[in-house]
Amino acid sequence: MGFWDRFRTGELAARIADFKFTLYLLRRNPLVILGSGISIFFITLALVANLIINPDLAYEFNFARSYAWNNPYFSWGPGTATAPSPPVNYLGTDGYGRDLLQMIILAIPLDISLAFFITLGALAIGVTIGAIAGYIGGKIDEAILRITDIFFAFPGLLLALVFAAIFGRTIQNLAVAVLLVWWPTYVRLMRGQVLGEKEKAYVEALRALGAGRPTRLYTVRAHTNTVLNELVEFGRHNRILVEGTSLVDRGARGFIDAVATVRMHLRILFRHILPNSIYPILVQATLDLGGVILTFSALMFLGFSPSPALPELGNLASDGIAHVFTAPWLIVFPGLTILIIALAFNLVGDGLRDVLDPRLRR
Amino acid sequence: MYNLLTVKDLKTWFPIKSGIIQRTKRYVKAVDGVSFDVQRGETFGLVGESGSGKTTTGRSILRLIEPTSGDVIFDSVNVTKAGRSELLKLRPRMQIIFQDPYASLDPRQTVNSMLNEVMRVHGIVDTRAEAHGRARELLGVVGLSEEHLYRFPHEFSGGQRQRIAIARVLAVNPEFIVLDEPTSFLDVSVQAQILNLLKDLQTKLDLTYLFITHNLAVVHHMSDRVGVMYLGILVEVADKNEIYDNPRHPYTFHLMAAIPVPDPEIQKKEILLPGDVPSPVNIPSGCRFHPRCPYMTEKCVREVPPLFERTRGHLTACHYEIDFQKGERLYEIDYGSPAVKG
Amino acid sequence: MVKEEDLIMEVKDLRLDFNTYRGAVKALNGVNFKLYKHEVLSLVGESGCGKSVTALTIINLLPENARVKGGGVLFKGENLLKKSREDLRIMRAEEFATVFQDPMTFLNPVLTVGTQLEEAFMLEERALKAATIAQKHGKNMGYSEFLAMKGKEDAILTKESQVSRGEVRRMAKSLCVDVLRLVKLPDPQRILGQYPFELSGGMRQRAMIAMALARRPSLFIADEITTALDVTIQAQILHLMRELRDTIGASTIMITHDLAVASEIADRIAVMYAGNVVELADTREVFRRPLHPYTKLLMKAIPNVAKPVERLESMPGMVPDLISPPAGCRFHPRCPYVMDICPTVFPETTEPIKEHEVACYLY
Repeated sequence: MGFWDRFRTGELAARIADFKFTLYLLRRNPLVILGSGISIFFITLALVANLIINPDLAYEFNFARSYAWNNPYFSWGPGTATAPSPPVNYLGTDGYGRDLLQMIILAIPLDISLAFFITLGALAIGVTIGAIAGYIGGKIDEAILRITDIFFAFPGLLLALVFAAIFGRTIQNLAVAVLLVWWPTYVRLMRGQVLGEKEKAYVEALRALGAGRPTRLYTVRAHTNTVLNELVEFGRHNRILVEGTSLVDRGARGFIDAVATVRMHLRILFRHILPNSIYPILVQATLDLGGVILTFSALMFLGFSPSPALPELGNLASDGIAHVFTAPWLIVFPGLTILIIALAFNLVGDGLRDVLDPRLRR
Repeated sequence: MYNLLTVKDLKTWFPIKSGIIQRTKRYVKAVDGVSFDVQRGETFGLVGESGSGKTTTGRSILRLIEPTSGDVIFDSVNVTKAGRSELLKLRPRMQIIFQDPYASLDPRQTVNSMLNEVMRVHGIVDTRAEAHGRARELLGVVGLSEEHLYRFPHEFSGGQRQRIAIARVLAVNPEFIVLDEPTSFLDVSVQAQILNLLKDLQTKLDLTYLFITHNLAVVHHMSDRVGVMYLGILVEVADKNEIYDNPRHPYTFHLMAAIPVPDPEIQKKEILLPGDVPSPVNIPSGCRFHPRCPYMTEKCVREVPPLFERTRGHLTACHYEIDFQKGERLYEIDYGSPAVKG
Repeated sequence: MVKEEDLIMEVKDLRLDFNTYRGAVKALNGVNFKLYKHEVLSLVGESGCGKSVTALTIINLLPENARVKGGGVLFKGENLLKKSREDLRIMRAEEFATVFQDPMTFLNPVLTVGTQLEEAFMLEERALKAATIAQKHGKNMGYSEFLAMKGKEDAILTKESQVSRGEVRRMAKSLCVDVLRLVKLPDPQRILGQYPFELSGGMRQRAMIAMALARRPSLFIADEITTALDVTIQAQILHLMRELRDTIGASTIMITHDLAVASEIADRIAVMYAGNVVELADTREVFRRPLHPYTKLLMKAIPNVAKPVERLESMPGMVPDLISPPAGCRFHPRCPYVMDICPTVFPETTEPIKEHEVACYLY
């Protein structure tokens, strides 16, 4: 069998065909195509931004050109300052005299990578905790819910403030702060999904099929048995020793069976229930990508930025507040960028949600 | 003959929590004292309508639902009281096929993946080649072919999915299978195929079946002995022919009379059972069937009739011997006297 | 015995496709049957045979991806497929009534049974007209009078109605109680105030039948109405249908996969397979002398308590995939009597025995 054959027959082929069907469904919605196109554009831009624009430009300040507009094709009208013509600033300059377009492009990798990092992080944590809570139920479920509630109650800004105050005002810390505010939603969502899914027939079927005993542990136990038996021999069937070894033996057996049961439950939860129930959560995560960008930019906008010159969309916009009448482009273009990115991710998320419904009727 | 499974006074009650402090005041008594035996190699049919508790009985026997009280003895092992280790050992030997073929398979798993998982978990095979071979073998036994291995459940018809479920269950080499309405969602022609397959497998692999269904014609075709359940208890247990030719309990009789017969020549007398199938929350006093029974007396309201062996192998839970053709009670049963030879 | 002048509906060579991702599902392949007044015709077949689709086509309740590819449905002379949406809507309201398998999906769970039933009477000015006539003639209007009046109201009413809203509602309410009694629901007054989830399956089904009766249909379609019910309740509902049949006088299309149920209630049976009617005759005829190989095999596959067998005879193969169905007679790959001509073109329906139609090259 050649290497490529595995893609044509077998498991992989089946899953690929399945995936193609999803793509087909997605293709039918024009808004989704638009959203995907824009998203892909921005993600590519994020990947190459530092290559097409020299990141050091962010720290080249030229105050002579600050708050100026010299785009030859479009004018904001009288009252706006202009800078000398070469070089052309298509979107004007910011307070440091940097070309706004270049700064926006440099800001995109930061924002997008933060969006993915925070969302995926919150997703991973929230989904795991939520799945366990939903599956186990009982007191552990209650405990997890209460802890989640505490995090829910945290106003995001306050948490960021506290974090910044304690741990220092860096991008990483602020990202962690936003993540901490974000993950409880996924716990709730996942728990709800798992609660519903675990009642389904196929889960019951898997429980009925049961678990086998892990063979490796058996070998270990066999070895332990020999050692124990030799000990007994050595102690010349000393009664205490014999009873001791039988206790250990039974304990070992119990341990192995406990491990087997736990492994079965983990398998059912993460190999079966989770993949079947995660789709709505992925939709939520896609929508959240936009939301995270908005949150993070808002934080920067409100002044939590570690450095005022940092090229970040919210940060760029915050400078524009004071100059909204003399240099409106400072708010408009970074804001517009945030809007478009968030909108694009939203459209993709919406499309995913529409795709889910008919497919549920498999 | 050897009793593979003994069920003794099995009860499964579900608490209904109500009130502000969520106290349990009432119970849904789904299974309320069921006892019967199943011998090795036979098929025991369990019939009843909705609310009778037959599905819960099947699941309680396997401890997929934890019973409230009673004992289930499988091959001398007490299943209900078994600890974790015992239960792990028992699981492969007692399996179940579910009613809904569209829900009992993980929709994201291919057939191959399903079978591999089962075999891997139970350590039945060692190498991948062995697993592949065994998977092919299993599919062949249930009438499917190798090309079906790499498909998802939604690409199969209902009948095929049941076959896959059967193959998966056979992978662990069970001795006893609970068949929970395995064909009710299937078309008639497919049902015939699946029932034939089940019968063949029983002979080939020496299986014992507990066949749960509401379809009386099917249970007659498949079972050796039949138990009729009503509102959580058995009201009649007998040989399959006895149940049909000579039902003793009024509920059994009405159940038989209600089956539509696919033969317009046979003019059936219109025998209708009044009222609705009751819910297991409010169980009537005495004989549970008395509110709907045309032959009830004051004794029926007062005393609970035991499941009594009137003739050999034929147990009935009714205070009276009734002549259904004439529609009258004949005489009262004396529980003290020994079983009369039929 | 059927008389030509009693013909109320004819389905002629109906062809229908569903457009899906994997291709066109050729669900109906030329369905032919006639329906006469006052009779119960049962469409019997397994899943995928097109029985439900046929009924949905008649009342025009098809999903978006359905395309009628040919044929027509003639109801009282008019082709339903050619009518406008508005005309069809009126027709649906006045002439057709459908009851489906799962009453829980078709009854509004947040409204009481009474509200929904009353609404059925209030629509199309039924209760209004009934109340006006009752007032004018000082008569007592029960359901049977209401039924008899159908179609004649406008002739009787000459003036503007002078009936108050309250009186109309009272008329609707009393008709509700009447019709609930007709479907043998105990304690109708109480049922009116209950919500659907408070009723049992059998009772809900009766409530649905009552709602259907409120429209005084001339065509009543019952789509697997007993499939979800217990055996004893099913027997009750079938008994009810038999009684109602004489009282109401509508024609009924009874869709079921259960031949036994069909035998209990139908006058004529149409056996369907993969989008065609393969056999059509009086109930007794079909059972006494099944002609089509599919019908014969189907009967052998059903376990019959009266005639027990060791092994059920099962048909080889499976129901065909309707995206690429077999050519010619769609049953030919599974047919024990297959001949060379079978895969060419679908056989014409012939009548080898009087009033017993079959579509098979054997005849």
